[in-house]
Amino acid sequence: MSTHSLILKDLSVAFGGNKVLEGVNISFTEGLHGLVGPNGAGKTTCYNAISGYVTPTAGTIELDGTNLVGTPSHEIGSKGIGRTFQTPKLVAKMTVLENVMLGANRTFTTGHVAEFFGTKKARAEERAVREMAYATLAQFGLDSAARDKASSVPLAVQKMVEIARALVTNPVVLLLDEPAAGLGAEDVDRMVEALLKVIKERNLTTVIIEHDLHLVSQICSKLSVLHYGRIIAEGDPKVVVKDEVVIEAYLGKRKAVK
Amino acid sequence: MSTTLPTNSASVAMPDWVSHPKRPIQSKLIRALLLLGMIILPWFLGGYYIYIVSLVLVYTLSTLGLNVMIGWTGQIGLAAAGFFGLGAYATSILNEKGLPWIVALVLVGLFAALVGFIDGFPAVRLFGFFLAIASLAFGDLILRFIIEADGITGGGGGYPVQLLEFWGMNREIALYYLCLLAIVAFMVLVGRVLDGRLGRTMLAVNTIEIATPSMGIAPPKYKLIAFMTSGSIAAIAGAIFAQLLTYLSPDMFKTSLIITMLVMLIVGGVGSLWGSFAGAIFVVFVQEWLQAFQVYQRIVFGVSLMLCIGLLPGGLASLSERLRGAFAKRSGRAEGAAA
Repeated sequence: MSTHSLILKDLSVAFGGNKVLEGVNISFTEGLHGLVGPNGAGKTTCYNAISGYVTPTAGTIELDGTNLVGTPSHEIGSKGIGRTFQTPKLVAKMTVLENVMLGANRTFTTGHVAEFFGTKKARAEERAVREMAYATLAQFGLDSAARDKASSVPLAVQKMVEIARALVTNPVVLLLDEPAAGLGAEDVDRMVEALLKVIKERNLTTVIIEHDLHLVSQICSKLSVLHYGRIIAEGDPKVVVKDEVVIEAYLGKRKAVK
Repeated sequence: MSTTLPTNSASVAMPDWVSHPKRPIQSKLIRALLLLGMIILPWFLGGYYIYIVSLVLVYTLSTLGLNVMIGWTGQIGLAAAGFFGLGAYATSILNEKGLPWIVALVLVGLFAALVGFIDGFPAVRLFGFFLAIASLAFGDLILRFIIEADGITGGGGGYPVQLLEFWGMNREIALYYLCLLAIVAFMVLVGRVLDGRLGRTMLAVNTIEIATPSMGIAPPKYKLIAFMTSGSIAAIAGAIFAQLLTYLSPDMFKTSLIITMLVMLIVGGVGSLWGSFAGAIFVVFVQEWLQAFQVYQRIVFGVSLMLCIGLLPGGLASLSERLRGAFAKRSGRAEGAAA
């Protein structure tokens, strides 16, 4: 599978007079790319702009050379920009497996009329999607939870189910919004292990928003730091996390204690 | 863009329930027994009671459409009474003009889907309360048209329905079987679709609309499908209702009917097809029981609505699950005490 690129050029987003992103330039080209910054830095707004949930005031978002600005959000999803959310967005009434199956919407070639009449092809596709969703859950060690109601599983499982659903969309670029937030160390290890394996297998361009700088410096190949809507540092994660400007943005200015 | 399956499913041991999901045998048995019971019911009931059960089935059908829209897709569309009236009048008029009833029924069903599309259009931009008001007004508009077009519909004076003939069969029994056929067909079709991709997507649009575009789902499309389906089913129910009542008057389809439909939906259980049936039984029972006291009917409906919303949000359909949970809790406590 070839690598896909997502390039933000001079991207700006404003809500009224409030500039949330200002002239952001980032290239997400291959592997796992970290996007970090303090609360309110504009990270999720950046995802929302890429996904078409908010319209940029300036700049372009290019997926493999095609500008996505102005494209309806569901078409951006259909083009292969998969994403997760800070708080898992699962249908509580449905099982874990059914939630993952939701992601396979663009895999179906048959329409709802064929589904209504229960044609052979529609049934075969439904079965293939069920199996694909189950196999994806198995990659995260969640096959035993497949029949559980989404509302009954713990947060760690819900977060991984959401990642599995995003993977079932067959994304070309995957945007993960704080997947490790609120998870215990064991769950984070389990999730990261499965995620890294899938990214490697599919050579998938992945962006991760995360507050745990230690984690991102361990798993990401590149890191971009947003602060007040601007990129303040970029490059090798191990170098970036030691950058004085980044430390100041996260922890504030050092003051001599008298 | 490639849409091949991203995961090699063959590399994972696939349990049979994943590849070939089956309904539990108990569930199949209960359905079969219920259907058998409904088939033989006319042998045990008198004419009036057959009419009452037929009414339950027609109301169930009308609520089924509302359930798809409100229960699955979360769209508070309140034009169902208008569509019910549209179906009743249009099918009867076309039949009287010489079109076979079944052909008229299909045409009206399709036409109602088209009208449902127009009714659903505001849903693309409106939410909650605003959508409820807009659709309520739309339903009222249909009723207003029925009243104003008195040259065709008889207006406020009413419209005598041309009665169907059933090859010499007892009319009440034949109508009962017509209602039964319609409800079984729609329960099977709607149930199958809602258990599948369309139902999953509608539920997602209902509960996690913000996340659906990231899966390539366009929520407006599914909202419109819900409005079209709901309008069409309500119109078909209305067409059968006309045959049951034999005489139509605009008063039957005024806004209070949508309240009755909402009582059926909420008391029965929003988002449950069987709930529609339970809700219809409840409403018809109360209507017949308090036939002479309309005011008391409204009090009973109002109190039931409040009780259900407050104490039993899943409606009557959730009772079995609740009872199972309560028994499990009790037996667990008993086992704990014994240990």
